[in-house]
Amino acid sequence: MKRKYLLVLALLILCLSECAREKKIEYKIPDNYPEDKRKDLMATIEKGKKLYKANCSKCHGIFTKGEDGVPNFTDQQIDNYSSGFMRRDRKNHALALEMSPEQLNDVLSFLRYRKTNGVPAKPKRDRKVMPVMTDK
Amino acid sequence: MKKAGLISIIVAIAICSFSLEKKETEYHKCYINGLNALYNEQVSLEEKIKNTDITSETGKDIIKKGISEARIKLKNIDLWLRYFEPVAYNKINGPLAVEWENEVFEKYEKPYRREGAGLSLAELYLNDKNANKDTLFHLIQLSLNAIKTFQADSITRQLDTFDHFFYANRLFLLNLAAVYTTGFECPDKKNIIAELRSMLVGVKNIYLTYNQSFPLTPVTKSYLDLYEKTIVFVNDQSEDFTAFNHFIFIRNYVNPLFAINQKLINDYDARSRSFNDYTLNNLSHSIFDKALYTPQNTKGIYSLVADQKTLDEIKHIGKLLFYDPILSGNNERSCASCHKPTQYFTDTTSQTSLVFNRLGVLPRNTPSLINVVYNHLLMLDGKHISLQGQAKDVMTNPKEMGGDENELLNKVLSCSEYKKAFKKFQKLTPEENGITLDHIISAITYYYSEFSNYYSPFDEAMNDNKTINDESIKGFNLFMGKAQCATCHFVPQFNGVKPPYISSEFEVLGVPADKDYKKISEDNGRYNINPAPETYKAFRTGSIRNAQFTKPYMHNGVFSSLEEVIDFYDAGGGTGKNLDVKNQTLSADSLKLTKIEKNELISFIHSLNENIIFHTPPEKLPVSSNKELNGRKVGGEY
Repeated sequence: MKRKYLLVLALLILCLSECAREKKIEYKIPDNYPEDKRKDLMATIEKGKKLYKANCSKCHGIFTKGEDGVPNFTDQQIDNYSSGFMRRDRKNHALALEMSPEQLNDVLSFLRYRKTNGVPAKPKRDRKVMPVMTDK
Repeated sequence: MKKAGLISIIVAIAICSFSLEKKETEYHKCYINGLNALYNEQVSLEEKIKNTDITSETGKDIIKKGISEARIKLKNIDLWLRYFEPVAYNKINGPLAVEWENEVFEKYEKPYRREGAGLSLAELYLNDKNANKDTLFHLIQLSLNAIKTFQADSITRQLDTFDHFFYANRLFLLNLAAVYTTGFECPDKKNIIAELRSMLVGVKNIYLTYNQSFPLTPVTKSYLDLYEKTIVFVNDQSEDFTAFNHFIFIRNYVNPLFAINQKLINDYDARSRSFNDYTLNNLSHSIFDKALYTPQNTKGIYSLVADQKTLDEIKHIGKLLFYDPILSGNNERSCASCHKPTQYFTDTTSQTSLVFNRLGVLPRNTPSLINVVYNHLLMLDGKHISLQGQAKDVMTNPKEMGGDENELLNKVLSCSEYKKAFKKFQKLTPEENGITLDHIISAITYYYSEFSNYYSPFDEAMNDNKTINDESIKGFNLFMGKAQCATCHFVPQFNGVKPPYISSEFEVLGVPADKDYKKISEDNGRYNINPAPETYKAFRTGSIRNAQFTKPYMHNGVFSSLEEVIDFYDAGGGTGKNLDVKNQTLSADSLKLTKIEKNELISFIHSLNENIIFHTPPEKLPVSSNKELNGRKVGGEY
């Protein structure tokens, strides 16, 4: 009986430690990407990863379970995101808005080249219904 | 039972598809009708071109009349077209045959060529001695083709929701302030006011049909009332565009309309889908708010730092570095050597600054750093896209500060005060593996950019109704009208950034090498960066804010007073002074300004002197562990 408990405990510890360990991230860089630019790209991605971890992961968890939990951005969503940033849509992307263009590029490169399981993220927020305005 | 289910499904589908059938709104119809009217007018213009002898005076008059009728039709729907598809719009009413664009959201791309066509160019072409029918016809045909773009679903779909409307209207209002009244796209200056009047009525019609179709998010009564008054004001003005009161027009009408429109954008939570809105700030309530459009990023590597205390520390270090000659190869030059903070961050004492190690003088005049943040491209040839890139270039340029990146970094870190600070700042940027030159540069750009946040008496007159003298107001009206300054120096920064404020413009003026006008300046300007016939000797248009205190003027500092500058423009630039200038973008005709008018212009320029609070230089510089470096002088030797 006691051994059974121990086994469960061991499994539990193993499980927890597995969860606590940072997920290994792999990248999908196209085969025909120029050799001489790969080092620069990896440096950009690495910077992006750090920026993401520090600034985005709280909601869009990749490294931890984020509040909104939609880390598998598709290419299209990344494009939308960057155009949303360009239009300075202040309702969203509050943090990205504070980034310099270079920093945002780092983050988006990280997301773009990150290997995902292919399941696209769900759009989360619906646009709120507008109240009727009257003139004062 | 199964049958009943099937039937009910079919019925449901039928109802759904019926209700999905799109009802064309009044607003949509107004757009289509306006587009058709413009199309038909241009078709009949083509007929006229076919059947008229365009070399005869009467023939020319017939065509001109046709063009001006088509222009009126265009102005009725300008609010939409310009906003929906600027590239196609350029084919209908482009001001120049070829433009090299480099828009802010495409900063990292090479500049691309855009060809204009349509009504303005056709009108200009008609005045050409060798004008032929085919070319003229072609210019109108391109315009007709462009109109088809505006019939595409991808564009008309936007008319189904209200969102685009307040953004398109915002662009319209900004153009009312900066473009429509200046003759920027109206070759025949006599038509400016007539076109404006007709346009205002056309837009009123758009407002009314919009309100019919979108009653939940209407153009409010207060807006419409003020708009009505705007129409009355413009109708009361003289036909003569040189007599138009731009000051009252903008201060009492356009700017307050802009404020209401901004409020509606926020109240209705309107969402933009257009890159026209890339830089514009929805929270800004005046065209003369310095936050109207997003300026250059001043924080650089510290962009994500929000804590004010930390930012103040960064600024303090930035200030020390700005004055510190340690950033040059010979430890004798600092940023402040040429951008003297006591002289509006420029050098008013010399035409152009000395080369590194005093080996001659540089070819270009030092620009003031005040308000540079409001340019999308930096340097007079637009070489740089960010303040940080520009600063790095100067530091490592062998002719300017002559430093080496690693050496500079080591020298700076040899000072314990700097080292301590940057160790702290590096923690704010976990994505960086160590302290880099970027940490140094971003502190500097963050420091000097704060001097761009001040306002001038002219801004205060526009924003807060404060009084300024009549001479300045007259000067502003000249600036916008007869003197044609505002066709390049656009409201509100009076630089080369025009609505929707997403790119910087370059102009070919034919600036002479010296005051004798013997030859044109040898500097090829923008051509060095983007070689093309149109960019040869073109320079980025600078702001005229604080110009009273930022002499000398022009890219080579050839003029030492505002009087000389105005005389140069009055004479029609280099071409007007008989210099051989290719593709001059400035009219070669004399402006025929009187002495009084010139003084009024100068009075207006003086009203743009900003109430800047300058800092005193630091008393001493951080001590280095390398004793040889400790003899450095605050601000450098030369």
